[in-house]
Amino acid sequence: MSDQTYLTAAYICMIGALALWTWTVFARSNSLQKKIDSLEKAMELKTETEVIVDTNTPESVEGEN
Amino acid sequence: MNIRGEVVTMLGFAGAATTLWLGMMWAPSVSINAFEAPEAQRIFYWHVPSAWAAMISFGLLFIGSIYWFFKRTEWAWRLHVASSEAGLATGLMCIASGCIWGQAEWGVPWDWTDVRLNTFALLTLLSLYLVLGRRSQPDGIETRDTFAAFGMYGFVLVPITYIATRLWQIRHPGPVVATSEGSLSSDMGIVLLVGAISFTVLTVGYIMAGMRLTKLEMRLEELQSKYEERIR
Repeated sequence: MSDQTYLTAAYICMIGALALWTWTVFARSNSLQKKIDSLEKAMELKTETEVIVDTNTPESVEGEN
Repeated sequence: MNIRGEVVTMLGFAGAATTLWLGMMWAPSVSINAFEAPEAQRIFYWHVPSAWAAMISFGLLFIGSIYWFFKRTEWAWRLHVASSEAGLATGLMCIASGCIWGQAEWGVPWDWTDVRLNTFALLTLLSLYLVLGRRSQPDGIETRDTFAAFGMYGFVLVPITYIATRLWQIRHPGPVVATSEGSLSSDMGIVLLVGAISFTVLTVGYIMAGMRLTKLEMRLEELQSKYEERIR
């Protein structure tokens, strides 16, 4: 292999490895953000459901009467 | 969403790619009598900046570790985590480029008797240990203290690595920048400077993105435990 080809192959491998590492950092960040968003949404929904269930319990109906 | 770290990383990556291109196409050739593989010498524009960036990461790892150990602040722990990951990325890049050059110039990728090579490899292995160790252990004060201690004591290798070629030059070339024996032409110096700035920006970007990543991990853990408490 000529010096120039050897160097080009090495450069491509190194920039590729660096790109892969950078992409991994971004992908991890996106994946975590999505998990956090969905968990926050689920917790908000759960809180809303709890409030609705609370107003329909027999105790609250009796209290109103 | 805070993506400053990602933006800085992309800028650094673009700079690193530009450095490769300048090193390959624009930088002058070296004397064919001075090297066994004169073309492979161009890898120097990638190797030296990545070593520089790794040293910055190891320095920040030391600061994060020492602050965590004595002040117990969250940002210090996040700095420790992010800089160990950045140190691993840039350290591996430096070792890979060094091995490629060594194979072309010396005929072997590694010299086990050279102090500079081995202390730098130990520093990169330390980063690897910290990254893998943190991912495999449950988070807690004791775990953080153990890893912070490794981050603090491991820093001893940084000055040893820096002075190694001055004290025990075996195979690794000696310094060519900021020394009276330097032999860089101005064009070579420009490419090297572009590389050093780019890799510095890249490593700062990695650390910023890594600190945000650790913050997100902590937030997710907190939310998961709250959610589990609620559904019980």
